[in-house]
Amino acid sequence: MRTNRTGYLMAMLAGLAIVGASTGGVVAATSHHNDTLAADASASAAAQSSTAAASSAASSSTTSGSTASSSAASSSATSSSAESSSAEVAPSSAAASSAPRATTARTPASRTPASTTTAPKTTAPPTTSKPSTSAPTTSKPSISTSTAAAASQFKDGTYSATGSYNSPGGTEKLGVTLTIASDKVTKSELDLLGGAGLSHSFQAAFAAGYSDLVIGKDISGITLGAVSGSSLTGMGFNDALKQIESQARSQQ
Amino acid sequence: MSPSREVFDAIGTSWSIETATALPTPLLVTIHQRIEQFDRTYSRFRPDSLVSAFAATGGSCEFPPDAIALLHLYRELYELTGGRVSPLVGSALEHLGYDAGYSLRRRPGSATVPRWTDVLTVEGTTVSARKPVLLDFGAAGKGYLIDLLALILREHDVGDYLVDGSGDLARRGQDVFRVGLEHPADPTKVIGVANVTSGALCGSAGNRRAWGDGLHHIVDPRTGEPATEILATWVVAESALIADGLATALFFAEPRDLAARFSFSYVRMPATGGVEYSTNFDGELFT
Repeated sequence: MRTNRTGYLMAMLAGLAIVGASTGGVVAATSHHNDTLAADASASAAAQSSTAAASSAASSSTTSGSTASSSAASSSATSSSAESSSAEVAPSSAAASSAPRATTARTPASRTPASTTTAPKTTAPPTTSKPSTSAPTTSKPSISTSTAAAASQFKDGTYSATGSYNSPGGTEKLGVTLTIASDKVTKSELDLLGGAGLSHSFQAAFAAGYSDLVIGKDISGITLGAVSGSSLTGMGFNDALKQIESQARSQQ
Repeated sequence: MSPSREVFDAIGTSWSIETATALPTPLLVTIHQRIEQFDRTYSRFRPDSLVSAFAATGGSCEFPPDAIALLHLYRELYELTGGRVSPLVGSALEHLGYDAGYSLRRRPGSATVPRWTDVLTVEGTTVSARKPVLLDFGAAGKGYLIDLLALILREHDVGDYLVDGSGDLARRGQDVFRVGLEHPADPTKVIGVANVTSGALCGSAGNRRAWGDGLHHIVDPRTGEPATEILATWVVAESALIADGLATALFFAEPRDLAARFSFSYVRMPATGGVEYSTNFDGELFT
Protein backbone atom coordinates (compact mmCIF):
# COMPACT_ATOMS: atom_id res chain seq x y z
CA MET A 1 0.00 0.00 0.00
CA ARG A 2 2.92 2.23 0.26
CA THR A 3 3.15 2.22 -3.41
CA ASN A 4 -0.50 2.86 -3.80
CA ARG A 5 -0.45 5.88 -1.65
CA THR A 6 2.68 6.99 -3.26
CA GLY A 7 0.93 6.57 -6.53
CA TYR A 8 -1.79 8.87 -5.37
CA LEU A 9 0.54 11.53 -4.29
CA MET A 10 2.83 11.21 -7.18
CA ALA A 11 0.03 11.27 -9.66
CA MET A 12 -1.29 14.30 -7.96
CA LEU A 13 2.02 16.03 -8.04
CA ALA A 14 2.57 15.01 -11.57
CA GLY A 15 -0.75 16.56 -12.32
CA LEU A 16 0.43 19.70 -10.67
CA ALA A 17 3.53 19.76 -12.69
CA ILE A 18 1.64 19.30 -15.91
CA VAL A 19 -0.85 21.96 -15.20
CA GLY A 20 1.72 24.29 -13.84
CA ALA A 21 3.75 23.95 -16.96
CA SER A 22 0.94 24.42 -19.38
CA THR A 23 -1.24 27.36 -20.02
CA GLY A 24 -4.47 25.77 -20.94
CA GLY A 25 -7.23 23.51 -19.89
CA VAL A 26 -8.38 24.60 -16.54
CA VAL A 27 -11.30 22.34 -16.39
CA ALA A 28 -9.90 19.38 -18.14
CA ALA A 29 -6.68 19.42 -16.25
CA THR A 30 -8.29 19.89 -12.92
CA SER A 31 -10.90 17.37 -13.66
CA HIS A 32 -8.28 14.87 -14.55
CA HIS A 33 -6.47 15.71 -11.41
CA ASN A 34 -9.50 15.14 -9.32
CA ASP A 35 -10.41 12.00 -11.15
CA THR A 36 -7.12 10.67 -10.13
CA LEU A 37 -7.63 11.74 -6.60
CA ALA A 38 -11.07 10.31 -6.38
CA ALA A 39 -10.21 7.00 -7.85
CA ASP A 40 -10.46 4.26 -5.32
CA ALA A 41 -8.02 1.51 -4.70
CA SER A 42 -8.80 -0.30 -7.89
CA ALA A 43 -7.52 2.61 -9.79
CA SER A 44 -4.17 2.72 -8.19
CA ALA A 45 -2.64 1.22 -11.25
CA ALA A 46 -4.10 4.01 -13.25
CA ALA A 47 -2.69 6.44 -10.81
CA GLN A 48 0.69 4.93 -11.27
CA SER A 49 0.47 5.07 -15.00
CA SER A 50 -0.72 8.59 -14.70
CA THR A 51 2.43 9.33 -12.85
CA ALA A 52 4.47 7.87 -15.57
CA ALA A 53 2.53 9.61 -18.25
CA ALA A 54 3.15 12.83 -16.53
CA SER A 55 6.84 12.46 -17.13
CA SER A 56 7.53 14.47 -14.11
CA ALA A 57 10.87 14.29 -12.53
CA ALA A 58 9.36 13.28 -9.29
CA SER A 59 11.10 10.45 -7.64
CA SER A 60 10.80 8.84 -4.34
CA SER A 61 12.02 6.07 -2.24
CA THR A 62 9.24 3.85 -3.37
CA THR A 63 8.70 4.70 -6.96
CA SER A 64 11.43 4.64 -9.44
CA GLY A 65 12.08 8.06 -10.69
CA SER A 66 10.52 8.58 -14.01
CA THR A 67 12.46 10.51 -16.50
CA ALA A 68 11.76 14.10 -16.98
CA SER A 69 10.89 14.64 -20.56
CA SER A 70 9.05 17.88 -20.37
CA SER A 71 9.18 21.09 -18.52
CA ALA A 72 7.51 19.45 -15.62
CA ALA A 73 10.01 19.63 -12.90
CA SER A 74 10.79 18.00 -9.68
CA SER A 75 8.33 17.36 -6.99
CA SER A 76 8.88 16.85 -3.39
CA ALA A 77 6.39 15.45 -1.03
CA THR A 78 5.92 14.49 2.47
CA SER A 79 3.11 12.58 3.90
CA SER A 80 2.14 11.22 7.17
CA SER A 81 -0.79 9.32 8.37
CA ALA A 82 -2.68 9.48 11.56
CA GLU A 83 -2.64 6.22 13.33
CA SER A 84 -6.28 6.19 14.14
CA SER A 85 -8.31 9.04 12.90
CA SER A 86 -8.44 11.63 10.22
CA ALA A 87 -7.86 14.44 12.58
CA GLU A 88 -4.17 14.67 12.35
CA VAL A 89 -2.39 17.35 10.52
CA ALA A 90 0.50 16.52 8.39
CA PRO A 91 3.76 17.64 9.86
CA SER A 92 4.80 19.80 7.06
CA SER A 93 7.86 21.70 7.90
CA ALA A 94 7.12 25.19 8.91
CA ALA A 95 9.78 26.76 6.86
CA ALA A 96 8.31 29.72 5.15
CA SER A 97 8.30 29.88 1.48
CA SER A 98 7.38 33.43 0.81
CA ALA A 99 3.82 33.11 -0.20
CA PRO A 100 1.90 36.28 0.36
CA ARG A 101 -0.73 35.38 -2.18
CA ALA A 102 -1.18 31.93 -0.91
CA THR A 103 -2.03 32.89 2.57
CA THR A 104 -4.44 35.56 1.61
CA ALA A 105 -6.09 33.87 -1.33
CA ARG A 106 -6.64 30.48 0.13
CA THR A 107 -9.84 30.16 2.00
CA PRO A 108 -10.97 26.71 2.95
CA ALA A 109 -14.07 25.82 1.08
CA SER A 110 -16.39 23.19 2.28
CA ARG A 111 -18.49 21.36 -0.17
CA THR A 112 -20.79 18.50 -0.05
CA PRO A 113 -19.42 15.29 -1.36
CA ALA A 114 -20.62 13.72 -4.51
CA SER A 115 -23.19 11.13 -3.88
CA THR A 116 -22.13 8.64 -6.48
CA THR A 117 -19.29 7.56 -8.66
CA THR A 118 -15.68 8.39 -8.38
CA ALA A 119 -16.06 11.59 -10.23
CA PRO A 120 -14.31 14.64 -8.90
CA LYS A 121 -17.13 16.04 -6.92
CA THR A 122 -15.03 18.20 -4.76
CA THR A 123 -14.62 17.61 -1.16
CA ALA A 124 -16.36 16.58 1.94
CA PRO A 125 -17.72 18.72 4.71
CA PRO A 126 -15.06 20.46 6.70
CA THR A 127 -12.74 18.13 8.44
CA THR A 128 -11.39 18.85 11.81
CA SER A 129 -7.91 19.13 10.52
CA LYS A 130 -6.63 22.34 9.23
CA PRO A 131 -4.32 22.01 6.33
CA SER A 132 -1.06 23.58 6.93
CA THR A 133 -0.41 26.70 5.02
CA SER A 134 3.27 26.28 5.07
CA ALA A 135 5.04 24.00 2.76
CA PRO A 136 8.02 21.81 2.94
CA THR A 137 10.92 23.48 1.39
CA THR A 138 13.20 20.54 1.22
CA SER A 139 14.60 20.34 -2.22
CA LYS A 140 15.15 16.62 -2.09
CA PRO A 141 12.42 14.80 -3.87
CA SER A 142 11.44 12.27 -1.32
CA ILE A 143 8.40 10.61 0.00
CA SER A 144 8.10 9.13 3.36
CA THR A 145 5.11 7.09 4.12
CA SER A 146 4.10 5.25 7.16
CA THR A 147 4.47 1.59 6.72
CA ALA A 148 1.86 -0.60 8.30
CA ALA A 149 -1.22 0.21 6.33
CA ALA A 150 -4.19 -2.05 6.75
CA ALA A 151 -4.76 -4.53 4.01
CA SER A 152 -5.73 -2.83 0.78
CA GLN A 153 -6.79 0.30 2.61
CA PHE A 154 -5.22 3.66 2.82
CA LYS A 155 -4.73 4.94 6.22
CA ASP A 156 -7.01 7.73 7.18
CA GLY A 157 -5.18 10.93 7.64
CA THR A 158 -4.19 14.22 6.24
CA TYR A 159 -1.35 14.40 3.84
CA SER A 160 0.39 17.40 2.51
CA ALA A 161 2.80 17.74 -0.29
CA THR A 162 4.53 20.39 -2.24
CA GLY A 163 4.99 20.20 -5.93
CA SER A 164 7.36 22.37 -7.80
CA TYR A 165 7.68 23.16 -11.42
CA ASN A 166 9.77 25.32 -13.61
CA SER A 167 8.23 28.40 -15.03
CA PRO A 168 9.78 31.12 -17.13
CA GLY A 169 10.06 33.06 -13.90
CA GLY A 170 11.88 30.34 -12.04
CA THR A 171 10.87 27.45 -9.86
CA GLU A 172 7.37 27.67 -8.52
CA LYS A 173 5.67 25.67 -5.86
CA LEU A 174 2.23 24.44 -5.16
CA GLY A 175 1.20 23.02 -1.83
CA VAL A 176 -1.48 20.40 -1.60
CA THR A 177 -3.20 18.99 1.42
CA LEU A 178 -5.31 15.89 1.14
CA THR A 179 -7.56 14.31 3.67
CA ILE A 180 -8.13 10.62 3.14
CA ALA A 181 -10.83 8.71 4.91
CA SER A 182 -11.94 5.18 4.11
CA ASP A 183 -9.83 5.04 1.00
CA LYS A 184 -11.34 8.17 -0.43
CA VAL A 185 -9.98 11.62 -0.72
CA THR A 186 -12.46 13.57 1.27
CA LYS A 187 -10.80 16.90 1.05
CA SER A 188 -8.13 18.51 -1.00
CA GLU A 189 -6.81 21.96 -0.75
CA LEU A 190 -4.30 23.91 -2.67
CA ASP A 191 -1.90 26.48 -1.44
CA LEU A 192 -0.76 28.85 -4.07
CA LEU A 193 2.79 29.40 -3.11
CA GLY A 194 3.84 31.28 -6.17
CA GLY A 195 4.53 34.91 -6.51
CA ALA A 196 2.89 37.51 -8.64
CA GLY A 197 2.55 37.82 -12.33
CA LEU A 198 2.68 35.11 -14.87
CA SER A 199 3.33 32.29 -12.48
CA HIS A 200 0.45 33.33 -10.36
CA SER A 201 -1.83 33.19 -13.35
CA PHE A 202 -0.64 29.70 -14.15
CA GLN A 203 -1.32 28.63 -10.64
CA ALA A 204 -4.63 30.36 -10.62
CA ALA A 205 -5.44 28.26 -13.63
CA PHE A 206 -4.82 25.22 -11.61
CA ALA A 207 -6.70 26.50 -8.64
CA ALA A 208 -10.01 25.77 -10.21
CA GLY A 209 -12.40 22.98 -9.72
CA TYR A 210 -15.09 21.44 -11.77
CA SER A 211 -18.14 19.55 -10.82
CA ASP A 212 -20.30 17.94 -13.43
CA LEU A 213 -23.33 17.55 -11.27
CA VAL A 214 -25.44 20.43 -10.15
CA ILE A 215 -28.11 19.38 -7.76
CA GLY A 216 -29.19 22.49 -6.00
CA LYS A 217 -31.29 22.84 -2.91
CA ASP A 218 -34.60 24.48 -2.34
CA ILE A 219 -34.13 27.99 -1.08
CA SER A 220 -36.83 27.36 1.46
CA GLY A 221 -34.80 24.56 2.96
CA ILE A 222 -31.77 26.52 4.03
CA THR A 223 -31.04 29.68 5.91
CA LEU A 224 -29.66 32.44 3.77
CA GLY A 225 -28.95 36.07 4.29
CA ALA A 226 -29.44 36.89 0.64
CA VAL A 227 -29.68 35.25 -2.75
CA SER A 228 -27.55 36.22 -5.70
CA GLY A 229 -28.26 35.53 -9.31
CA SER A 230 -29.31 37.67 -12.13
CA SER A 231 -30.90 40.68 -10.60
CA LEU A 232 -34.44 40.47 -9.53
CA THR A 233 -35.97 43.39 -11.24
CA GLY A 234 -38.36 45.71 -9.60
CA MET A 235 -39.84 48.02 -12.09
CA GLY A 236 -40.12 48.62 -15.80
CA PHE A 237 -38.61 45.41 -17.00
CA ASN A 238 -40.96 43.13 -15.15
CA ASP A 239 -43.95 45.20 -16.10
CA ALA A 240 -42.99 45.03 -19.72
CA LEU A 241 -42.36 41.34 -19.47
CA LYS A 242 -45.82 40.78 -18.08
CA GLN A 243 -47.30 42.74 -20.93
CA ILE A 244 -45.42 40.66 -23.45
CA GLU A 245 -46.57 37.48 -21.78
CA SER A 246 -50.19 38.51 -21.73
CA GLN A 247 -49.96 39.54 -25.36
CA ALA A 248 -48.45 36.22 -26.21
CA ARG A 249 -51.26 34.42 -24.46
CA SER A 250 -53.94 36.44 -26.17
CA GLN A 251 -52.43 35.60 -29.53
CA GLN A 252 -52.77 31.91 -28.97
CA MET B 1 -26.22 42.76 13.67
CA SER B 2 -29.90 43.09 14.38
CA PRO B 3 -30.51 45.11 11.34
CA SER B 4 -32.51 48.07 10.53
CA ARG B 5 -33.46 47.65 6.93
CA GLU B 6 -34.12 50.30 4.34
CA VAL B 7 -35.78 48.97 1.20
CA PHE B 8 -36.33 50.90 -2.00
CA ASP B 9 -36.32 50.66 -5.78
CA ALA B 10 -33.60 52.33 -7.79
CA ILE B 11 -31.95 52.02 -11.20
CA GLY B 12 -34.47 49.42 -12.26
CA THR B 13 -34.10 47.02 -9.38
CA SER B 14 -34.78 46.50 -5.70
CA TRP B 15 -32.36 47.60 -3.02
CA SER B 16 -31.91 46.92 0.62
CA ILE B 17 -29.52 48.60 3.02
CA GLU B 18 -29.10 47.00 6.41
CA THR B 19 -27.36 48.63 9.31
CA ALA B 20 -27.27 48.03 13.04
CA THR B 21 -29.32 51.09 13.77
CA ALA B 22 -31.75 52.99 11.60
CA LEU B 23 -30.14 55.46 9.25
CA PRO B 24 -30.99 59.07 10.05
CA THR B 25 -33.11 60.86 7.51
CA PRO B 26 -30.39 63.23 6.31
CA LEU B 27 -28.17 60.26 5.53
CA LEU B 28 -31.00 58.60 3.64
CA VAL B 29 -31.42 61.77 1.64
CA THR B 30 -27.71 61.77 0.87
CA ILE B 31 -27.93 58.17 -0.30
CA HIS B 32 -30.85 58.80 -2.60
CA GLN B 33 -29.22 61.90 -3.99
CA ARG B 34 -26.14 59.89 -4.72
CA ILE B 35 -28.18 57.28 -6.55
CA GLU B 36 -29.95 59.95 -8.54
CA GLN B 37 -26.68 61.58 -9.47
CA PHE B 38 -25.29 58.23 -10.59
CA ASP B 39 -28.38 57.32 -12.57
CA ARG B 40 -28.51 60.71 -14.23
CA THR B 41 -24.96 60.18 -15.40
CA TYR B 42 -24.75 56.55 -16.44
CA SER B 43 -28.25 55.31 -17.23
CA ARG B 44 -29.11 54.68 -20.81
CA PHE B 45 -32.71 54.17 -19.74
CA ARG B 46 -33.46 57.81 -19.08
CA PRO B 47 -33.40 60.50 -21.73
CA ASP B 48 -32.00 63.14 -19.39
CA SER B 49 -28.83 61.22 -18.55
CA LEU B 50 -25.35 62.17 -19.61
CA VAL B 51 -25.04 58.87 -21.45
CA SER B 52 -28.20 59.58 -23.44
CA ALA B 53 -27.02 63.09 -24.28
CA PHE B 54 -23.67 61.73 -25.35
CA ALA B 55 -25.36 59.16 -27.55
CA ALA B 56 -27.27 61.92 -29.28
CA THR B 57 -24.36 64.23 -29.91
CA GLY B 58 -21.15 62.28 -29.91
CA GLY B 59 -18.14 64.51 -29.70
CA SER B 60 -16.51 65.12 -26.37
CA CYS B 61 -18.13 64.73 -23.01
CA GLU B 62 -16.94 65.45 -19.50
CA PHE B 63 -17.95 62.79 -17.00
CA PRO B 64 -17.98 63.37 -13.25
CA PRO B 65 -14.90 62.44 -11.21
CA ASP B 66 -16.39 59.12 -10.15
CA ALA B 67 -16.19 57.97 -13.76
CA ILE B 68 -12.44 57.45 -13.51
CA ALA B 69 -12.64 54.14 -11.67
CA LEU B 70 -15.50 52.88 -13.80
CA LEU B 71 -13.92 53.77 -17.12
CA HIS B 72 -10.61 52.36 -15.98
CA LEU B 73 -12.15 49.03 -15.05
CA TYR B 74 -13.98 48.83 -18.36
CA ARG B 75 -10.77 49.45 -20.22
CA GLU B 76 -8.98 46.77 -18.26
CA LEU B 77 -11.73 44.24 -18.76
CA TYR B 78 -11.92 45.16 -22.42
CA GLU B 79 -8.25 44.30 -22.79
CA LEU B 80 -8.41 41.16 -20.68
CA THR B 81 -11.41 39.75 -22.54
CA GLY B 82 -10.30 40.65 -26.02
CA GLY B 83 -13.00 43.28 -26.30
CA ARG B 84 -15.85 41.14 -25.10
CA VAL B 85 -16.58 43.24 -22.06
CA SER B 86 -17.31 46.57 -23.63
CA PRO B 87 -19.22 49.74 -22.80
CA LEU B 88 -20.12 49.93 -26.49
CA VAL B 89 -22.88 47.32 -26.40
CA GLY B 90 -25.63 49.86 -25.77
CA SER B 91 -26.91 49.90 -29.33
CA ALA B 92 -26.75 46.12 -29.59
CA LEU B 93 -28.85 45.80 -26.46
CA GLU B 94 -31.33 48.25 -27.90
CA HIS B 95 -31.38 46.25 -31.10
CA LEU B 96 -32.26 43.15 -29.13
CA GLY B 97 -35.10 44.97 -27.45
CA TYR B 98 -33.48 45.92 -24.17
CA ASP B 99 -34.09 49.58 -24.72
CA ALA B 100 -35.17 52.55 -22.67
CA GLY B 101 -38.80 51.82 -23.46
CA TYR B 102 -38.40 48.14 -22.61
CA SER B 103 -39.85 47.21 -25.97
CA LEU B 104 -38.35 43.74 -25.45
CA ARG B 105 -38.76 43.18 -29.12
CA ARG B 106 -35.88 42.28 -31.27
CA ARG B 107 -35.42 44.38 -34.34
CA PRO B 108 -34.70 42.83 -37.71
CA GLY B 109 -31.17 42.04 -38.73
CA SER B 110 -28.15 41.97 -36.55
CA ALA B 111 -26.33 44.56 -34.51
CA THR B 112 -22.64 45.21 -34.57
CA VAL B 113 -20.61 46.49 -31.66
CA PRO B 114 -17.86 48.92 -32.64
CA ARG B 115 -14.33 48.43 -31.42
CA TRP B 116 -13.18 50.70 -28.64
CA THR B 117 -10.19 52.02 -30.52
CA ASP B 118 -12.27 52.76 -33.58
CA VAL B 119 -14.71 55.06 -31.88
CA LEU B 120 -13.82 55.89 -28.32
CA THR B 121 -11.11 57.91 -26.62
CA VAL B 122 -10.95 58.23 -22.87
CA GLU B 123 -8.63 60.67 -21.19
CA GLY B 124 -9.27 60.99 -17.51
CA THR B 125 -12.95 61.80 -17.26
CA THR B 126 -13.17 63.13 -20.78
CA VAL B 127 -14.80 60.70 -23.16
CA SER B 128 -14.74 61.39 -26.87
CA ALA B 129 -16.52 59.51 -29.60
CA ARG B 130 -15.82 59.78 -33.29
CA LYS B 131 -19.44 59.03 -33.93
CA PRO B 132 -22.43 58.98 -31.59
CA VAL B 133 -22.34 55.85 -29.45
CA LEU B 134 -24.69 54.61 -26.79
CA LEU B 135 -22.60 53.62 -23.80
CA ASP B 136 -23.82 50.85 -21.55
CA PHE B 137 -22.42 50.44 -18.08
CA GLY B 138 -24.53 47.42 -17.25
CA ALA B 139 -21.54 45.15 -16.70
CA ALA B 140 -20.15 47.00 -13.69
CA GLY B 141 -22.29 50.05 -13.09
CA LYS B 142 -24.49 48.61 -10.41
CA GLY B 143 -21.54 47.18 -8.56
CA TYR B 144 -19.91 50.58 -8.64
CA LEU B 145 -23.01 52.24 -7.26
CA ILE B 146 -23.05 49.66 -4.46
CA ASP B 147 -19.48 50.67 -3.62
CA LEU B 148 -20.34 54.35 -3.71
CA LEU B 149 -23.23 53.82 -1.30
CA ALA B 150 -21.06 51.70 0.97
CA LEU B 151 -18.52 54.51 0.94
CA ILE B 152 -21.16 56.93 2.18
CA LEU B 153 -22.04 54.54 4.98
CA ARG B 154 -18.39 54.25 6.00
CA GLU B 155 -17.93 58.00 5.88
CA HIS B 156 -20.84 58.34 8.28
CA ASP B 157 -19.51 55.70 10.63
CA VAL B 158 -22.59 53.55 10.63
CA GLY B 159 -20.60 50.49 11.62
CA ASP B 160 -21.36 47.22 9.92
CA TYR B 161 -23.59 47.32 6.88
CA LEU B 162 -25.04 45.40 3.99
CA VAL B 163 -25.79 47.10 0.70
CA ASP B 164 -27.78 44.65 -1.36
CA GLY B 165 -28.78 45.60 -4.88
CA SER B 166 -30.84 42.50 -5.65
CA GLY B 167 -28.14 39.96 -5.01
CA ASP B 168 -25.15 42.10 -5.87
CA LEU B 169 -23.89 43.24 -2.53
CA ALA B 170 -21.20 44.80 -0.43
CA ARG B 171 -20.92 44.07 3.22
CA ARG B 172 -18.93 44.97 6.27
CA GLY B 173 -19.47 42.59 9.13
CA GLN B 174 -17.97 40.41 11.80
CA ASP B 175 -19.94 37.25 11.25
CA VAL B 176 -20.34 35.09 8.19
CA PHE B 177 -23.20 36.06 5.93
CA ARG B 178 -24.58 33.30 3.76
CA VAL B 179 -25.54 34.22 0.24
CA GLY B 180 -27.40 31.67 -1.85
CA LEU B 181 -26.31 31.24 -5.45
CA GLU B 182 -29.50 31.14 -7.43
CA HIS B 183 -29.93 28.26 -9.82
CA PRO B 184 -30.08 29.86 -13.27
CA ALA B 185 -32.75 27.43 -14.37
CA ASP B 186 -34.83 27.44 -11.21
CA PRO B 187 -35.15 30.51 -9.01
CA THR B 188 -36.57 28.42 -6.19
CA LYS B 189 -33.26 26.62 -5.88
CA VAL B 190 -29.72 27.58 -5.08
CA ILE B 191 -26.70 25.70 -6.37
CA GLY B 192 -24.60 26.70 -3.41
CA VAL B 193 -23.89 29.21 -0.73
CA ALA B 194 -21.15 31.80 -0.57
CA ASN B 195 -19.86 32.93 2.79
CA VAL B 196 -19.23 36.64 2.89
CA THR B 197 -18.01 38.46 5.94
CA SER B 198 -16.63 41.69 4.58
CA GLY B 199 -16.30 42.35 0.91
CA ALA B 200 -18.46 42.16 -2.15
CA LEU B 201 -20.29 39.49 -4.06
CA CYS B 202 -21.88 39.97 -7.44
CA GLY B 203 -23.63 37.52 -9.70
CA SER B 204 -24.60 37.58 -13.31
CA ALA B 205 -26.95 35.35 -15.22
CA GLY B 206 -29.07 35.53 -18.27
CA ASN B 207 -32.16 34.05 -16.76
CA ARG B 208 -33.94 36.90 -15.08
CA ARG B 209 -33.52 39.76 -17.43
CA ALA B 210 -34.46 37.57 -20.34
CA TRP B 211 -37.25 38.12 -22.77
CA GLY B 212 -37.49 34.98 -24.78
CA ASP B 213 -35.71 33.32 -27.68
CA GLY B 214 -32.47 33.28 -25.78
CA LEU B 215 -32.48 37.04 -25.47
CA HIS B 216 -30.90 38.44 -22.37
CA HIS B 217 -28.84 41.38 -21.27
CA ILE B 218 -25.31 40.03 -21.52
CA VAL B 219 -24.29 40.70 -25.08
CA ASP B 220 -21.22 39.34 -26.77
CA PRO B 221 -19.69 42.18 -28.79
CA ARG B 222 -18.23 39.68 -31.24
CA THR B 223 -21.65 38.60 -32.39
CA GLY B 224 -23.99 41.29 -31.17
CA GLU B 225 -26.00 38.44 -29.67
CA PRO B 226 -26.53 37.36 -26.08
CA ALA B 227 -23.74 35.26 -24.63
CA THR B 228 -24.41 31.55 -24.76
CA GLU B 229 -21.38 29.75 -23.34
CA ILE B 230 -21.97 30.55 -19.70
CA LEU B 231 -25.24 30.43 -17.80
CA ALA B 232 -24.31 32.16 -14.58
CA THR B 233 -21.35 33.55 -12.69
CA TRP B 234 -20.62 34.74 -9.18
CA VAL B 235 -17.57 36.61 -8.02
CA VAL B 236 -16.39 37.53 -4.56
CA ALA B 237 -13.91 40.38 -4.50
CA GLU B 238 -12.83 43.34 -2.47
CA SER B 239 -15.12 45.77 -4.20
CA ALA B 240 -18.48 45.39 -5.88
CA LEU B 241 -17.17 47.29 -8.89
CA ILE B 242 -14.60 44.58 -9.51
CA ALA B 243 -16.89 41.73 -8.53
CA ASP B 244 -19.61 42.96 -10.87
CA GLY B 245 -17.24 43.55 -13.75
CA LEU B 246 -15.57 40.18 -13.31
CA ALA B 247 -18.93 38.44 -13.10
CA THR B 248 -19.60 39.67 -16.62
CA ALA B 249 -16.03 39.07 -17.74
CA LEU B 250 -16.32 35.42 -16.73
CA PHE B 251 -18.90 35.03 -19.48
CA PHE B 252 -16.14 35.77 -21.97
CA ALA B 253 -12.78 35.00 -20.43
CA GLU B 254 -10.96 32.25 -18.66
CA PRO B 255 -10.59 32.79 -14.93
CA ARG B 256 -6.82 32.44 -15.06
CA ASP B 257 -6.56 35.37 -17.42
CA LEU B 258 -8.51 37.53 -15.03
CA ALA B 259 -6.65 36.19 -12.00
CA ALA B 260 -3.47 37.57 -13.46
CA ARG B 261 -4.81 41.02 -12.68
CA PHE B 262 -7.48 40.69 -10.00
CA SER B 263 -7.80 38.85 -6.71
CA PHE B 264 -11.15 37.13 -6.51
CA SER B 265 -12.92 33.86 -6.09
CA TYR B 266 -15.65 32.67 -8.38
CA VAL B 267 -18.27 30.11 -9.25
CA ARG B 268 -19.63 29.77 -12.74
CA MET B 269 -21.93 27.46 -14.63
CA PRO B 270 -21.02 26.70 -18.23
CA ALA B 271 -23.87 26.00 -20.62
CA THR B 272 -22.38 22.57 -21.18
CA GLY B 273 -23.26 21.65 -17.62
CA GLY B 274 -21.53 21.43 -14.32
CA VAL B 275 -20.04 24.04 -12.09
CA GLU B 276 -16.60 25.57 -12.12
CA TYR B 277 -15.18 27.23 -9.06
CA SER B 278 -11.94 28.54 -7.77
CA THR B 279 -10.48 26.60 -4.90
CA ASN B 280 -10.34 29.78 -2.86
CA PHE B 281 -14.12 30.01 -3.02
CA ASP B 282 -15.45 30.15 0.52
CA GLY B 283 -18.76 28.40 0.63
CA GLU B 284 -20.61 25.28 -0.34
CA LEU B 285 -21.70 23.91 -3.66
CA PHE B 286 -24.56 21.48 -3.82
CA THR B 287 -23.21 18.99 -6.27
